[in-house]
Amino acid sequence: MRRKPGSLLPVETALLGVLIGLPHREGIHGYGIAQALQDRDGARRLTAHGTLYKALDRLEVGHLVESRWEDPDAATAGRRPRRRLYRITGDGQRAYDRARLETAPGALGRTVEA
Amino acid sequence: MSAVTRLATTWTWLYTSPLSQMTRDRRRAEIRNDLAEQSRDGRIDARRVLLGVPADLGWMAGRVVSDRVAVRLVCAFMLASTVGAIWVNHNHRGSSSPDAHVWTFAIALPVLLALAPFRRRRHVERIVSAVAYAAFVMPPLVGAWPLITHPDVAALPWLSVAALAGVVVGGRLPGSLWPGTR
Repeated sequence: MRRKPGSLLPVETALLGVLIGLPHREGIHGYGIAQALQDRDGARRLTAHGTLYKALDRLEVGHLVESRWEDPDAATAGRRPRRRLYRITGDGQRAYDRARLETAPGALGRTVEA
Repeated sequence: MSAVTRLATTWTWLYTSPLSQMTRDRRRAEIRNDLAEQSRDGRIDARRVLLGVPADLGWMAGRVVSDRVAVRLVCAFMLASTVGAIWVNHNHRGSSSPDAHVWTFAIALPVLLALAPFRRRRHVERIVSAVAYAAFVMPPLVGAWPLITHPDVAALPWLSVAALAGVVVGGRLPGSLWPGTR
């Protein structure tokens, strides 16, 4: 089944919601997003690798999030592989607001009243 | 390295293998980091790998298809340009100026292919193709290329050079989709 252009899957909306709520101006890495998503939803498990990175990739292709590699020195200092840091874009914030409006109970009524 | 980390690393290596180098390296590095962070937290879980397998495969299939579609479109552009140039040259021979339908065909081809459904940011091949067309196809079309002695075949070697130049130059430009270079 083809997706409606511009529509977001639930996991994509959830990811955008997490990115909006995070205070990291520099962006946050995939594992950090998975942790934040788990905390927010009270899920028992972290989002699977495939689900998480596929959704992030789709959001990036749609320009709803942007990403960059962190400074190599930070990774060396932390003795770990480099992180890919994700940040929500202006388009992403608008898409998230739209998605929330569409899925909120009584959204149609509010739209009509407005 | 734990068995789960090894499983995740091997699986990532497997499903990213058919992809272009840049896509492949990025995904592998991301998973490597994810596993390191997870391992540091002591939360390594095989289900996180296994439950993501369908999504991994879907993502991989989408990437492979989009890479191939873009390359196929450029190849189609080159092929269509070659056929068009030969056909136009053939019809042009002996007359002072090509007929209107010949010009229509010659102009419609690149326009149609320029409007081909490349995805965003995939303009490099389009530009390279357009430049190659302008440089190698249009001069023979209008008879301005001094080296042409036999219009039926003249476009073919030039188009081969153009295609080769497209691969070499296009593959080295940022954003290119040529296999193995992205």
